[in-house]
Amino acid sequence: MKIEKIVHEKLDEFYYKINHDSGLTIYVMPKPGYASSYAVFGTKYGSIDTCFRLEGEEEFTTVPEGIAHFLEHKLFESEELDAFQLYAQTGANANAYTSFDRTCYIFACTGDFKGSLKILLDFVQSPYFTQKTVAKEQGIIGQEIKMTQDNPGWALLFNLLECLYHNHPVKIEIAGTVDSIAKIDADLLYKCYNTFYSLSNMTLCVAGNVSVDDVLEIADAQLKKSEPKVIERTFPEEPDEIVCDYKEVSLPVSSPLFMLGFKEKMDSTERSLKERIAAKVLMEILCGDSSELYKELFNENLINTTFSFEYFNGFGHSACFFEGESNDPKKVRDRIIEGVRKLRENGIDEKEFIRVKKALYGAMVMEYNDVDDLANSLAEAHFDNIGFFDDFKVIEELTVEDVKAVLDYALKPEYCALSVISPKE
Amino acid sequence: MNNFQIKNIADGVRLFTCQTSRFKTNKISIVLALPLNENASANAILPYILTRSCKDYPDFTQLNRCLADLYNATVIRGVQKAGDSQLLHLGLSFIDDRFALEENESISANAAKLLLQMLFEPKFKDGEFTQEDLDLEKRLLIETIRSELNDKRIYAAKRCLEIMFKDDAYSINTLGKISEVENLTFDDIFAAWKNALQTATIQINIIGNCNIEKIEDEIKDYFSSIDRKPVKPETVFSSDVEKMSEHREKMNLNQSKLVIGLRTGMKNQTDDLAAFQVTNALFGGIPTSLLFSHVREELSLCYYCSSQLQRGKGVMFVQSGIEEKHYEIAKTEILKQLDVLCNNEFSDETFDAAKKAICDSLGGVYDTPSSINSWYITQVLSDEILKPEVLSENIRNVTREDVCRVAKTIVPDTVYLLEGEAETDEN
Repeated sequence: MKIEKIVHEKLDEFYYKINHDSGLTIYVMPKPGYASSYAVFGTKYGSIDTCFRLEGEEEFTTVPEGIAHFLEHKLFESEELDAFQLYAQTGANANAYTSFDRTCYIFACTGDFKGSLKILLDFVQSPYFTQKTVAKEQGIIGQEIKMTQDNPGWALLFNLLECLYHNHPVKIEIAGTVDSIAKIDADLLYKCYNTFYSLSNMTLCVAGNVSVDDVLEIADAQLKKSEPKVIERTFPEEPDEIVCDYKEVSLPVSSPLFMLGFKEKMDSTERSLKERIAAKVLMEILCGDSSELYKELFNENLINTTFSFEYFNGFGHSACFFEGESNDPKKVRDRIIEGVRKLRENGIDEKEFIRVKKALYGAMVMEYNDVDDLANSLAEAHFDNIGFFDDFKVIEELTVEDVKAVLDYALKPEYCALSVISPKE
Repeated sequence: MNNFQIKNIADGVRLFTCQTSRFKTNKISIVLALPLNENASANAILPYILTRSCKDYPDFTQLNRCLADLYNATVIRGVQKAGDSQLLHLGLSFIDDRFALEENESISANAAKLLLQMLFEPKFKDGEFTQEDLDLEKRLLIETIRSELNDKRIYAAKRCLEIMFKDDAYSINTLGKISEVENLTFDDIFAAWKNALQTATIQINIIGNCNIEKIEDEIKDYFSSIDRKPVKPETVFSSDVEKMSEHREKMNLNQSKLVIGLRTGMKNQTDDLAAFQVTNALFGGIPTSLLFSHVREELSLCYYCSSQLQRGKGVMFVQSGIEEKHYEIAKTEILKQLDVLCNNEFSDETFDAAKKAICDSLGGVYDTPSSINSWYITQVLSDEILKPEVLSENIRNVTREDVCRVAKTIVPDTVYLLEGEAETDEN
């Protein structure tokens, strides 16, 4: 077992990275003076992993859409007490989430940390699926799907993804559909579990009122050593072009909602940390709340305070997204495209660049208050294969040239699509 | 570790401070509590207007640039309902001077100065507010009010509350009313600002590593020139229910949203608080609660079914997303679980779990500036401040009999269904 201590002097923070004998990578970030601890036990397995095989297997397995999320629900159950009933004995507040590329099981507690950690490690490593329990969950998740269908923001996002991607599974709804989850059975759940829930594909991240000794005491006793597995994922080829540039549906909303996306051509499978941070800086300079464009859009009544943007990227996809409420979404799109053209023409203002860098650094520092943010970000950094403090180094060293480099491949008007939810008459 | 102080610094103005170096940020937060009444619209616009510009930074672009230069100092702005009062929030959160990239940069002092200027020296103080400024703010507030329709769970809860508290101040939208906002004039806003500074019950929280004494002096300075005549908003607590009423409205939705409003019998916001909180957790506040385990896990009727206690008015709301055809069975099952509480038929495990879950969460109040802030700022109207450790002790002392006793005073008042018209029969 190898334990490494990583320190950030200026930030006055440190964490331990532990290569545990079981094959699991564990991160521990003690926060002196805190009463809470927060744990994340996660696997690099999400809604996009619909076709895969283990090294040595002949055939690829294709599974129903939404199965990663379904599996997350079902792991909470066992033959006897379910995980919520066990956590009820320690008082911890437990939950789980499934995203495009990961599934995480979490708890927060201020009392019995070791007892809660034992429950977490135990139930995630103890699958129990039967036809009866699968059927019960189909009713509950069916209602969860219907709830998200009534969420206009969710519809906005997935309509945009459908406009942008021909084949990439990021366009699939994370929870699947009522039809797709009807195809899930216990055998398929075991197949996915045995592929993706191997400790070499997982991480445990803990932050707060914790020590390495406490974590290892429980980890040593609970973790079932497993041989590393090599997972092969296959994604259908994705053309550079978008599918269509506009999609509008009507829902009961007060005024039109829009989401605008600029798909990017990918030369590698994933964007580097530097590229991602440079893209954020670029978007901030283009239309952040101190920019001229933001001011114009605001004063011309084209956007309101709900306007925001995000660099949306993952395995095999990346794009710049802008969203908000507007009575004229097409005009907002045209103005953003015009803003990008001007930025290309006039170049990036050095003063703006410095201001945005400073603000981004401040936002990074702010994230070190909450133990839940920290534990979740540790897991994210692990799955991205980067050091937890790397983003500070990148932002400090970032140059205008780095941002210009992103502008070369990002924000291309020919790869832009607009998703609109309009009010129902 | 936590160096707390609570003191009065002007008539009806309380200062809460927590000097600590364990956070990366400082937070200064101000709340002005006013009665929820016909002035709601003019009051509601204030936190937004006040934080979008000020004397030194007369438009939002200049102000936002200043905030970015202060390393992404983040504005807190908003309105909240607490019983029959309207809370106006404004504040700033910013990284501590220790983390500035250059020597001797004074983030805290500049941020504090900026925040106080926002509240006490708005652009309109000297008449420099333009028609465009006013129109912009009115548009933004109206759009916020209208967008309450977008989240159907929140919308359904709001409709249930409006029906249940028809003719009661509690039904007034804390963001104001569209027709009133449309008619707001510059004079209305100026008057609302003057009135808030003079009559609101005010609390200011300062949490972090900054020079608290210096900021306190600056605040006192501003208040010394204001002729304070504080008025404390009062809330009516009523437990009268003639007969439970049922209401339906239709909307184009995939799932129907069920809301049940109950009157708890609380006589004020601290009346038997610990017993009511345990009862609420046991009923529908935790994942092993009666509602979760019966309505979701046993009957598989829904994804969520939970209850929430609003102590400020002594009411409780149950919410669930269901199929319309399951309306009767879901409603009956939810009300049946209330009987389980009254009849002392719940398990010891669930009872202990409810207490443990609340105490565990109370133990974490001091772990983020936001949770410290919201714990203390929402007590602006309480004469005696309740500390989380005291409530925790009270929770531990709650008995099964306490739960039965308070459960018997909880009466269902209004059942509301936002009926989905687009529901398909797939299950």
